[in-house]
Amino acid sequence: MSSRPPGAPAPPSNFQRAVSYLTPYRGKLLAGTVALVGANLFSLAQPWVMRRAVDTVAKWAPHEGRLLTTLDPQALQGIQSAAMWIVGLSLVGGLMRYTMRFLMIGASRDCERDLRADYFSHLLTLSPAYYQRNRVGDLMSRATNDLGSVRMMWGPALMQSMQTLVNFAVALTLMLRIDAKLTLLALIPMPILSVVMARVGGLIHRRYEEIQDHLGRMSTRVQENLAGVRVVKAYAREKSEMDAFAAANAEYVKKNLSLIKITGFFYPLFGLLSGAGGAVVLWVGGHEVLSGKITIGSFVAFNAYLMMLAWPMMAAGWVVNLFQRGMASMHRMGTVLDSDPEILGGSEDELPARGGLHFKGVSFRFTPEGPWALRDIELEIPEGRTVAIVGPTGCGKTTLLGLLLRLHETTEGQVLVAGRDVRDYSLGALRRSFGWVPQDTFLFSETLRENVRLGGGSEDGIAEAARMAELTADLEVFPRGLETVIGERGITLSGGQKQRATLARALVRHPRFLVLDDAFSSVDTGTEEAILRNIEPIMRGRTTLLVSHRVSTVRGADLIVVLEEGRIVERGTHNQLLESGGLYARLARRQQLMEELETES
Amino acid sequence: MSDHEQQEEEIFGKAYDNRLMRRLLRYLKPYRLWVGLAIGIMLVGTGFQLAVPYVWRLTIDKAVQGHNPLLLDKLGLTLVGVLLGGFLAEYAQAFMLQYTGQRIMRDLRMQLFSHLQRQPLGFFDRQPVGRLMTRVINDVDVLNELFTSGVVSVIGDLFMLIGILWVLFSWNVRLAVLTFSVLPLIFLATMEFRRRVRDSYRKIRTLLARINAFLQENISGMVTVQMLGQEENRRHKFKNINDAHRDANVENVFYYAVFFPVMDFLSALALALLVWFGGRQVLHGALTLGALVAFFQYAQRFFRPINDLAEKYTILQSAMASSERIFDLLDTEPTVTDAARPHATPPLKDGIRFEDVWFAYNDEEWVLRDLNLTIRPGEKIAIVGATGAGKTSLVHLLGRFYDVTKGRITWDGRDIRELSMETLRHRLGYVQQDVFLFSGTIADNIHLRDVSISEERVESAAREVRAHEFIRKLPGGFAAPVNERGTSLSSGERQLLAFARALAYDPEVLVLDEATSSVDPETEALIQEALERLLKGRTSIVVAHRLSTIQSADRILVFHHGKLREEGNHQQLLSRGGIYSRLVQLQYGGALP
Repeated sequence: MSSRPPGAPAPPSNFQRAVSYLTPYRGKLLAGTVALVGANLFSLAQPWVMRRAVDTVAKWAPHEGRLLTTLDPQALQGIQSAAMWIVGLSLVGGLMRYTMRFLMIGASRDCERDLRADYFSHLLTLSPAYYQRNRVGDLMSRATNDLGSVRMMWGPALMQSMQTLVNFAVALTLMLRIDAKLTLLALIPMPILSVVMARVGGLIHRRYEEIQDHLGRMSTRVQENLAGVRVVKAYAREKSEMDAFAAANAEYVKKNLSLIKITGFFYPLFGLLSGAGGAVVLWVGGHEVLSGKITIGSFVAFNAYLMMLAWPMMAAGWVVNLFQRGMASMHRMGTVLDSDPEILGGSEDELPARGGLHFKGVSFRFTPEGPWALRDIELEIPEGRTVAIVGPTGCGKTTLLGLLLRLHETTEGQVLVAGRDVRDYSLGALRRSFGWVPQDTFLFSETLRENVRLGGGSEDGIAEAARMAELTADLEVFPRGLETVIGERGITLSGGQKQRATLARALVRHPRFLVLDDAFSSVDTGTEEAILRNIEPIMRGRTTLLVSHRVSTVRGADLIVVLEEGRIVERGTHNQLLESGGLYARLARRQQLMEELETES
Repeated sequence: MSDHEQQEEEIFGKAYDNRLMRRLLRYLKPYRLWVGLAIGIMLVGTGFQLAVPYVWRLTIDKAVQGHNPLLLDKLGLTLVGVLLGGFLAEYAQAFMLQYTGQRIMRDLRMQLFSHLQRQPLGFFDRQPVGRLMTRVINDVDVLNELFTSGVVSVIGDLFMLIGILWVLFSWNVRLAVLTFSVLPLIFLATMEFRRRVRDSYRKIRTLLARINAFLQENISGMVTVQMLGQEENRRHKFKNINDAHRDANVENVFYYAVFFPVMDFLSALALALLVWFGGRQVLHGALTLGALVAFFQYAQRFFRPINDLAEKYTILQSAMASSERIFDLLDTEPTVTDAARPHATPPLKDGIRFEDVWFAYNDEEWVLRDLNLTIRPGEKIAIVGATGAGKTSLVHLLGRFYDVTKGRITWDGRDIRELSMETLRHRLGYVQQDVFLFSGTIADNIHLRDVSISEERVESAAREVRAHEFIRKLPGGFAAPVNERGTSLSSGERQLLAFARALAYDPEVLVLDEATSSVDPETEALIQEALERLLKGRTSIVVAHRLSTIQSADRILVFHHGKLREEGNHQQLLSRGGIYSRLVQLQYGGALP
């Protein structure tokens, strides 16, 4: 997904990566494997015991019609010991089976946790540009669906494949010992079973994916219908919405039926094929008993082994699918894990005690061949001063602010913070020195206190920050004040409330630099004025950069810069700019006009 | 956590509810022939399966021990026939059941969706979209399980169990009793296991939901996390949930790791009892060897469905919970409905009147108080007031998004509750504050899939409100795709699109809730011009924020705390020096130095 610096080691292959997560748990896995071999040996011993028991009974049983009152002690002893063996084998085998599952599947859960943690940790290092290129849903599906498939590979697939191997090797040996010819004949349907299962498994998987896809589309339809309910009602579109849903619904049924046609046919077919082996045993084996080649006990035990093989053979196809899917998923997660952060921090952990902000001949474009988003920006904000940026939508104001916090990397020129290049500082040190209030507010579904505290800072500061951001009155209305949970699981904030909470979050950390990006767009003018009055004492001591549409917000700044199509076209104080009669003056006049309109009338 | 959510968490555990089941079975009714046939075939299939050990018995006793090679050949063929018969029965049965299940799900989904379309806006204020989605999509799918692998195949399992019991008891009562003596133990072990595993799954699900919600939110807000330098804090928080999820899973693995060997052991115990006592009976000559072997096979076939039954119990449980939620939703009667015999809404002649209208979303919290108002045809009304003054509620009442709490609204003298909602809304054209765009093309978003609106009308509507200028520039023009949430369009463009949408429907009365979000001056000018054209020659009610819109209105209504406080045109109201003049000063910066 991103180019790798030359000389860096090649990323691990999917297989290597899958194995590397298992390595820390090799002790568990090894012990689990030993238990697995034991458990399967013990269950395979059971038909062998049955064989002896049946032979003993067959040997001593009376011929038809006669009843014996006394039994031969040898025969009695034979069946008694067989019964004891069955119980004993199952007891020890069961303990091993428990150990096997607990260790092996348990290890897969450990690996799942590790991979999920690594995945999220890596996401934390990736640059904002990465999140613009990749959709949240996609990154989420890797963390959920793909992680699940990888886990299935580490756990059930690994365990089942080993079981199949052991079962097959041992059962086959025992069956060959009983009767080689019968073994070959009885096993004919088995490979067919495995191949068909693998093939059909793939087909089923594809059909299933199609169904999931369609379900996704249908969900989107429903989701939009519900989210857009106001439009649907206002234009009385209920009937056409229902028609569209009915069509999607019918298509979903059709897709499901196409899957059912396969599963409905093939699953019983597997039963038929594995049963066919049994029919061979009954017929061929029966004749061999008649001709005295094998005993009745062998005949019965042989059938039991065949039945025991049927499941692992079917599972073989399933396991192959699990591995394929797991590897594909490992690859998808790997592409994320192998993406390098495009923006790396420097080594400096402290900012010099003094100094403002300085854009030194800065140019920027989003893509190497793309148009310039910012061109030759020369702007200094001396320590303690306030600079405002105005300009039409899309002129590059937000982009310019982003360069300060290294949301993007300058293409040409340099951005200096406290006298040094932003690239010298570690990302944490740099970003923590800013109080950043973005245009698009983002709050977490946590309590208001946690959201404000996210900015760091002291507990006492929270109330003060809330006061300055004019949140105090809102807090009184909220059911639990600062402890109110917001977002999906709690109350919904208005746009203005969100912006003010975001402002409080920035203020609480007493940042050295304050960056307000159109931070009051959803706040009404009255409240905005109040906030500006509240934070004036803070702004006086701090280096502040603010972006706004409103003249009333920016008029008090030490310097106002007008940006148009990525270039600074005007600069000066409010009065200077008004005199020069440029873009700013026009903007101011338009707003002035509105004021005058009602004073005239 | 709200009460409702708590309820959702609590519904669990009830595996069978007669009332719910009866209601569910009603959905089977149209397909009863199919279901009946499937059950019949299932019965036959069970017969085939039961026949297999019997063939083995005959083989051992009559063919092998009776030295009859000819009979052996016949029995071999019989077994093949039995297997084929079983295959066909299973195929037919599975297909019919699944087919029926799919049909029922389709019916149920459709019913739910249609039901939602009938709900008034107030319903959607209370129900988050996510929850309703879960009802229509996930809960219905859970029910699908019930039909395909749950309830009906339980019948199959029961046939099997009864069949085996019947065969074994008729062969040898003592041996049958011995074999089934482990049954209570199996039953107890299974119940205990199910109980624990259910609790553990519930824990896992909750934790997984938290993990996913956390990831979703933090990936969406990654820039915020990074810009605040909070990576370490987030990593730590995630580790806690992730570890808890792993622990819950390991606990779950433990239950399975114990359960499977225990079940194996219990069936081995039954087998040992059979070998011991059955063997003795054969030695006595009271039982044939073939019967003993068939007994082994039957016993194994007996324990398998018990495991299955336990699994189906879980399916039944979640299906009951899902159906309870679905029926709860279906039982929510829409509060705003058409009258029994609604009148078509005539063209507006005399006017719209609000007569002593009171309105509250929740009881007694009045949003509008004692409103009296007449809107004459052709009049341009602007509604102004601070946030929360009841402006938006007023326009919502007119379109019957909500019904008045007290009083009435009349259209040419007739209460709007006597009019059909569909015809009423066709007379009205709404432009809402937040412009919602559907995924589809630009044109789709103008005509909203109304086939009676021609392409020409879509284009002329767009031209009229100056939206065609930006639409033309899009790749594909009117066919350009609008992606999720319409992010590719600016807020100004979205507003123009909403104007075009309203105009395409050519409403008699335009109801417009002006957007408050600020746009750049050029777009602002464009919107103002579009607005003028949109309102021309139409009765209009505008919740206004733009001074230009307010000034051009025939009449301005000033709302304050749910009451109509002032009325008049711009000049009159300003000279009165009341709320309006203060409002104008506040909103348009008149108070600034």
